[in-house]
Amino acid sequence: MAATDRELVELAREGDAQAFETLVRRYLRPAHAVALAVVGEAADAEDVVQDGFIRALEQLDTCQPDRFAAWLMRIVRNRAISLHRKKKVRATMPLEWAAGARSRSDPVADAERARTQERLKEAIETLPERQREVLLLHDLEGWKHREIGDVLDMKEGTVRYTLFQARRAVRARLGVESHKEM
Amino acid sequence: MEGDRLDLSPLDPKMTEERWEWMVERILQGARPELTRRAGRAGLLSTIGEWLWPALSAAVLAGVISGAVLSRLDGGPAEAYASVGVIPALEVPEPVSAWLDEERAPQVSDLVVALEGGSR
Repeated sequence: MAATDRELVELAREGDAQAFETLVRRYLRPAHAVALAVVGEAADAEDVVQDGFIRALEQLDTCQPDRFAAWLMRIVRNRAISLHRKKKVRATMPLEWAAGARSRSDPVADAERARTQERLKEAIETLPERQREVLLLHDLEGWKHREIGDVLDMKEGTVRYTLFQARRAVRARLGVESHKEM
Repeated sequence: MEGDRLDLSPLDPKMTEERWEWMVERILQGARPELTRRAGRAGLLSTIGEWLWPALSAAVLAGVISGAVLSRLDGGPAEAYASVGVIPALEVPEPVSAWLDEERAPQVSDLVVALEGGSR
């Protein structure tokens, strides 16, 4: 049976590298989604995630072990916002999703994938930051409304509504035909 | 609402597995100093703990034994000394102790008796 967050946090507090690695692997993807939604660039998101995990480790004694995920995401989000402010990126932010994600064998599939990716990127770039976070955590990372609410400090109903708005905006951007494809 | 889920899989960064591994490795490398510090602290605490408990136990045991010994001494020699009194304890000659008990100045005759008694 997989170790619980509580068990892993308690071990990591004592310097257990294996436990910390398990936590990193468990929460790297959602942390990356949160960071990417704020900073908009994959390289920056990676820096934020790395920094966020190390900060979290340094402050691990202040964490309630059962609430590790929400606590970590808040750290990552705050780091992302801080970086975002420093860089003063306010206008259009080029989102770099899944850079280099190509199947090396099928050029037609690659081209189609690149086109879809491009359309999605453009649609998501137009969303407000909070809608982007909710959409990515739910539809890309598969988090539940309640979990997203915990992390982003939102009520579950607000998460649902924000998600609804985000999806509607993306679909509108992609157009009816694309909507049918999806 | 679940049925309305957008298919964002083309954006899924998991497709670049090597990138994820690289990120994990980068985080772990960055975390190494803090993990080492924590492991050292945990080791030190456990070492102190290993010594602390036996030392505390010994101190408590010594305290209990001392208390028991002291409580047995209570009412022993101290009371005995108190009941004897200072004058007999100092072995003052009998006539002198009588003056002292009566709290009066000695007469010449008392001094003669005392001196005769002392010379005997």
